[in-house]
Amino acid sequence: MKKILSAVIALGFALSLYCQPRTGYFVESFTLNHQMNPAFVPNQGYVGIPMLSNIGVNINSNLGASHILYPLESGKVGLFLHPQVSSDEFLGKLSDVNYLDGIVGLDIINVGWFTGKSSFWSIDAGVKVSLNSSLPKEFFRFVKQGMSGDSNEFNMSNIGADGDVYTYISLGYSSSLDKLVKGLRIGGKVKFLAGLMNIYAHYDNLHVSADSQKWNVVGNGTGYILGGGVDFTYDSQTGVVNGLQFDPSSFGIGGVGGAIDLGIQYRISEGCALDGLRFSAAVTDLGFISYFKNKSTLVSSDGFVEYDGFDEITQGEDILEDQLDELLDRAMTLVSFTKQPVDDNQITRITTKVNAGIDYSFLKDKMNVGVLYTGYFSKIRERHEIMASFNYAPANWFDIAVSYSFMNLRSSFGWLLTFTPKKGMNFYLGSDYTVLRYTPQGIPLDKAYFGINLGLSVPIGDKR
Amino acid sequence: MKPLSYYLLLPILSLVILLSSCAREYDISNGNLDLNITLGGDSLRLPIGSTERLSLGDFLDLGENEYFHTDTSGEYYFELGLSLQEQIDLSEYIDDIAIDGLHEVIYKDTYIPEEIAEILSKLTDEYVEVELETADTLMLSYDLTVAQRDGIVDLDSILFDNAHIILSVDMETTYEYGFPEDYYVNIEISLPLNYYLCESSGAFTPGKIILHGEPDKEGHLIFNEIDIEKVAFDVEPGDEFKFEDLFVLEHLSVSFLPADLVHYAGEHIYLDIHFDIASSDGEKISPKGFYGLVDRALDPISESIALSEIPSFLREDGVNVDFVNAYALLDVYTNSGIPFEIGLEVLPEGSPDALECLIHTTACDEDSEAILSTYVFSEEYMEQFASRQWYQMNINELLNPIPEKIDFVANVSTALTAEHHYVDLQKDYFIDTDFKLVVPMSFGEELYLPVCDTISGLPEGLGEILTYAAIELFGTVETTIPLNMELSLQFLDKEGRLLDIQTDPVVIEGTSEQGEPVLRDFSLLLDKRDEIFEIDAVVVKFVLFNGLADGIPLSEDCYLDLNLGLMFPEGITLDLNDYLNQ
Repeated sequence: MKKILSAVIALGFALSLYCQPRTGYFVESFTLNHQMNPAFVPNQGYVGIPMLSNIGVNINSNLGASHILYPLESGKVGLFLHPQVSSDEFLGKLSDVNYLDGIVGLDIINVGWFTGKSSFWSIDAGVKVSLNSSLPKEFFRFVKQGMSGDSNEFNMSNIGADGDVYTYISLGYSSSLDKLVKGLRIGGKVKFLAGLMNIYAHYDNLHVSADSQKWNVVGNGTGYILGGGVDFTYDSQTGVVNGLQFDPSSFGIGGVGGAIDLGIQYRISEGCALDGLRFSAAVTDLGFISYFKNKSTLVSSDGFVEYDGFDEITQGEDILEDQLDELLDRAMTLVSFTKQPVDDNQITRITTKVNAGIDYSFLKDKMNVGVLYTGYFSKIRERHEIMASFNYAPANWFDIAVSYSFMNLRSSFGWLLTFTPKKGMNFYLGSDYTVLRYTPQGIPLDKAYFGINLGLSVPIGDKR
Repeated sequence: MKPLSYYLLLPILSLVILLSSCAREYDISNGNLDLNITLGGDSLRLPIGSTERLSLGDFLDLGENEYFHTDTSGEYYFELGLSLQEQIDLSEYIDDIAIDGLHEVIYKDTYIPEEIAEILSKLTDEYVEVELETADTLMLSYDLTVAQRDGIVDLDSILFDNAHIILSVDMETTYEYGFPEDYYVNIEISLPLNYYLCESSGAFTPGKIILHGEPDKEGHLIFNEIDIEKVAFDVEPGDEFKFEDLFVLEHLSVSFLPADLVHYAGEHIYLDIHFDIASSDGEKISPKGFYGLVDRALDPISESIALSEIPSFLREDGVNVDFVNAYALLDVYTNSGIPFEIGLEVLPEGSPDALECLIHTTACDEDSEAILSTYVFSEEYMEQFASRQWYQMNINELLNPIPEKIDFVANVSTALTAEHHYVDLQKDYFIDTDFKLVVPMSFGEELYLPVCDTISGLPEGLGEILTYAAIELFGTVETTIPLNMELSLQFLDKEGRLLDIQTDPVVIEGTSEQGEPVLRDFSLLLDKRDEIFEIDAVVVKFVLFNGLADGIPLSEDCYLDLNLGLMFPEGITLDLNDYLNQ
């Protein structure tokens, strides 16, 4: 029983990088797969239950408990910095870029309907809150390993974090182009974006060169707060950023923008053995938000510290103290973000996704297998995944899908249950990444993915 | 739903259940999480920096020490000096060899026969000399054995500047008209053995006094005083200084003109010859000086040189300075006409054996105000002091170990030579000695010289840091010091007690070529500790020792440049449990 409960917990901790489970990409009965490829259409029109039509909460990281925690000889558990944990063991588990992402998506309105013989329209409106952060392996190498030789280079560039909150409303259209090419279908969406807040901090260059004679640290960082709700605080004397403060009164639309989704699918239906083979591709969230000038705050830091020791160390004199103060002043420039002038509206792009898949339906479309490539192009990082899935629709109102994803030498199990009765209530629950191993405290062992996607909608119209 | 769906759903769920597992070895509940962490596990290194150039003078704290100096080549030496001024009191000899003098009267009576009147009538105007019977002797006796007892072992002569022979004549006659206008008295006295020197007076022939004077009409005549400049002696070894000087009246006559003498035919002429040897004031005749040999010892002179100001590190227990080129210089400046023997004893405190040496000073001749005699004492002959008289003496032994003080005893006595020396009894004799102990900072192979510098008031957390990490202090030394050094660290608590924390010593080789800097790497490791020590001070201990050639001098150009770095060879280990519990 306990194991069953654990499995349920594991299911509950299933993860997704989308607001929609990618395992449903090839599930034709999944009402929201058009959000991943606007050329896709569901089997039936629907109206989402407001606020409940599509909810996704995900925290994603390629670091898990097994990266952080290590069983010790004493029977206890130590952190990765524990002296009994070797550098090779710890660093060998890390990717070059380690990240912690989070996304919360909430669709307020979902509605999709068919017009004519094969046209499908959809309107979506919702809120997305996302966090992307990046921590290079070099940072951990510096902390864990220190200096393995006399000369050590640590390139810790690309440390950064990006938090984005925006709302959107989109109009989608998908149409069959059977008249042109049998089995061809295209779709697109136009999205209006309203940026609420975007906090960004990133070191484009953070390079530490250390040996026994000299330490050099070069750091160039940029950051901004776009929109409202939060603002920097500054040191009254130096003007350097020294914190953040929340200002709920300023929360609101800080910028506007737009995005498009484009999709295409081609299904072979020539009466041959390959009938049921489908090719699909889509790019989504290809767009930007332009934050208003008066809602934009830019900061940057440009520091260089070269420390080769103190000169003329003499006991009891102030020379050393002066040099130490100077060194600290220089070191502070590395993290001293100062306000920069804002000349114009600030344009930021949103994370764009690319999907390209091939799937094959058989047994009268009761079963389907497919392979999907997904690329993520955020402001601070790219990520690519390959997912294989198997779908089975034992009934025309129920579909079960399982998937297996490969990304960056790791793999995960996903699943999706969709209930799409002709009448009544559509429901889906699923996750792309199911944690199979976890600690007693429920922390994913291998990768710290956490999340769940679910949605409720009401079918409208007839099934196609 | 058809049963097939259950058959499929069930295996999927079963697969999930089977594949999913709880990794209990990762259980962090109930205090099972060990929050010991190590930062920079392989090592963390950072430069500390370079020290201000540490000159040897600073390093050994020589700069403000009055004893340390540099020579023209900039080489360090320390010098201890002792100057003595001694007065030599020979005044007792003034009395010892003073002479009482002589006061004698010789009475003479002569009768002029009547028969000579006829003879005289035939003579012309030439004076006729009436000779009186002589062979009278005068004895001047004096006893100078006191001087002999007081150290005059040989007496060549005594010099006077206030000794005179005073002769006067009182004449009377039975002739009723007394003496004529013109007549003369002639006296010749032989001096004893020609030992009297009266060259400055007239009428003097060596060994004789010949006087010729014209008495007045009443018969009185006082001759000019004859200065006795010197009385010489012929003393054989063993002779007592008792002298009897015999003066013999060799000749006495009175010359008259024949016309005058004729009146005295048949008359008597009486002469009283007064013979005095005396000083002007009539007191005893005090000498100006004498030539002779004096055997006399001055009171021993004892002095000490305190070495309390010598840097204490030179006197620590276990120190073996092993100086190799130490030497001493002695200058003796005296106006004494007598050469001296100085028996010099130099005794370091605590040492049972004194270094001894007997030196001879040069006597000052009469024409010089004073004379300087110079000496050098060293283990080896030193060409640079060729002008000095060299005495072999291992001065290095005096200073190993360096004592609290060095006692000097000078036994000064006159040197007995074959040659007589002049002693001027009117002079204030002095003998000034200037002793310098010069110790170049060059060492032998036995050198072992710990030098400690304590840096107190260390940050309070240092002892705690040692519970987090082993600390390695590494660096490079650029040195021109021609000595090897052993470097180690020790730590003290606030009460100054030595803690059980220290580094193993490392050896830093010095330069083998004088003045040529060499770079040496070093590393000091402080082991990680299990308990927190309250460290307040670090004692940086340098032990200088010689692994190179002996006797290379330390000069003010010698320096140390330290370029330091800090390493945590196994990273920094922190127990975050402690922080969480606080």
